Amino acid sequence: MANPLEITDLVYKKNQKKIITDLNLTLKPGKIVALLGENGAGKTTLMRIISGVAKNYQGTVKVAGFAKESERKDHLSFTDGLTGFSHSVKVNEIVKFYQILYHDFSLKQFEQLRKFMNLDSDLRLSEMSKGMKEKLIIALTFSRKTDLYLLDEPFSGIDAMARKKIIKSIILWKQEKSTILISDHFVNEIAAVLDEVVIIKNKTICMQKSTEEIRADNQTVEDFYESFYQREEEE
Amino acid sequence: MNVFNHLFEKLLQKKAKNVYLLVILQFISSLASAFFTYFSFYSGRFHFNSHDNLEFLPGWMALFASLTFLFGPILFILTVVENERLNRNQTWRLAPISDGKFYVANILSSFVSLIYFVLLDVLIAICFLFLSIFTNSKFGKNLQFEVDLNSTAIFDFIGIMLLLILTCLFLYFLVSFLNFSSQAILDFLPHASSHILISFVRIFIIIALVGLLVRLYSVFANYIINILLLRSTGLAGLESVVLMMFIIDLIILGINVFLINHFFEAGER
Repeated sequence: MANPLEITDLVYKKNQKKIITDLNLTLKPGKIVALLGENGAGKTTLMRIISGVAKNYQGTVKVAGFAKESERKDHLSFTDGLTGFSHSVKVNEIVKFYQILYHDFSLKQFEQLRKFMNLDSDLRLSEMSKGMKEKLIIALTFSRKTDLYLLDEPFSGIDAMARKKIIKSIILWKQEKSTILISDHFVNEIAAVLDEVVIIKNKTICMQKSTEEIRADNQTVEDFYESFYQREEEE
Repeated sequence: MNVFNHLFEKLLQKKAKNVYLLVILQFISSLASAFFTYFSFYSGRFHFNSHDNLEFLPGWMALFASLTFLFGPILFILTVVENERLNRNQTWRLAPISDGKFYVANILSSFVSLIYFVLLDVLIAICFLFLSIFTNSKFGKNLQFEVDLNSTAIFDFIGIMLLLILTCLFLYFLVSFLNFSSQAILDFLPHASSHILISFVRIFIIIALVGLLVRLYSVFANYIINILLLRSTGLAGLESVVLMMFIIDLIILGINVFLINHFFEAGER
């Protein structure tokens, strides 16, 4: 089985500014990986490149062994902001859109997730709070059966209780061989489900370490992340 | 192909909402215009203006038909704006299909929505016509059709229809080309924090691109098509214009597909 994600020598420039330089990253199947980095480090840009919506980059990006953008999009599920829908659209209409466009979308899975998130399918986007919208996005993302899930700050608007409940359940929603790449600021909250940590700094991946290794050094993921930045600052 | 069909269907559904809205507006505004044409308000009540040759229903039909020339272009402008909004939208661009195919589905669905609008208008006009004939015997008797069905007229009609379709597609492609290329050029330029400056630079780029296109067109049309293509095929008049438009459409479509595949990004928000 091909790796869910393989990036080789990725370079991305925009407005005469290098945003990503010589980035190499390989993720193995079945892992939950945190993509950590400061604001503006390039986490969202990296996810947009992987999902094929950001253009004009150099290097190779393969998702489940596929390099073509259309095939990559078919093998990954990205937390999209649902900006393509008008505010008056109901949840069930968005679900129909997903059902018709994505062959791997499971209505059964969505219904389970919708109930878990306490979302009403007759609710319109305009009637939803930021947190509810984010819950819907997570439900839609995990209703697809793909090799790679890209979660770009998925919990920022969700209340603490619901966030903990969702994070604990993530492991149940993904398929055994699927990999999740998740960028988030709530490091301590997602730490329990993580298998690996990837840190993006100075426009490239500067650290990729398993949580087992981190814990073997008697550190928590949050401590590791903080000490990494302290070390960098001291140097 | 399956994804392309599904995407086309969804895009058409989205754009059909504008079609229904405009047909309803056209219907209501033609009714209002007919009402104020045939009725006057004085002495506290409405009076029918009997001096008009046409009765109310045929008059309403004529107004409805003439308003097609106002609402048709409005729908065209709405679809142009919608095309470019969708081309930049991340939700739609994440569909598991190449961006080039997405672009073709987007333009095609807009074009089909225009055809759909015309068909709905024709259907409503036919309904009006039959209602006018059944409700007004004088109108039916006076109605005369005179259609000259010789082969030249048919070919001219087909030629004009083709030219109209190709021109409509050309305008869609042209707007996309200006949007894609100006955005791609902006992405290469140094970052400017001011939105006003960005807009100013973009307008400048668009003007420069239009100038370049006009120059290219004059060279292309005068030398390459007229001299090489048309003389060798022996076509003249309307056929040559249709052929030229077809070639230009293909070229600009190819450029747009290249630009959206390699340079034109979906927006983040």
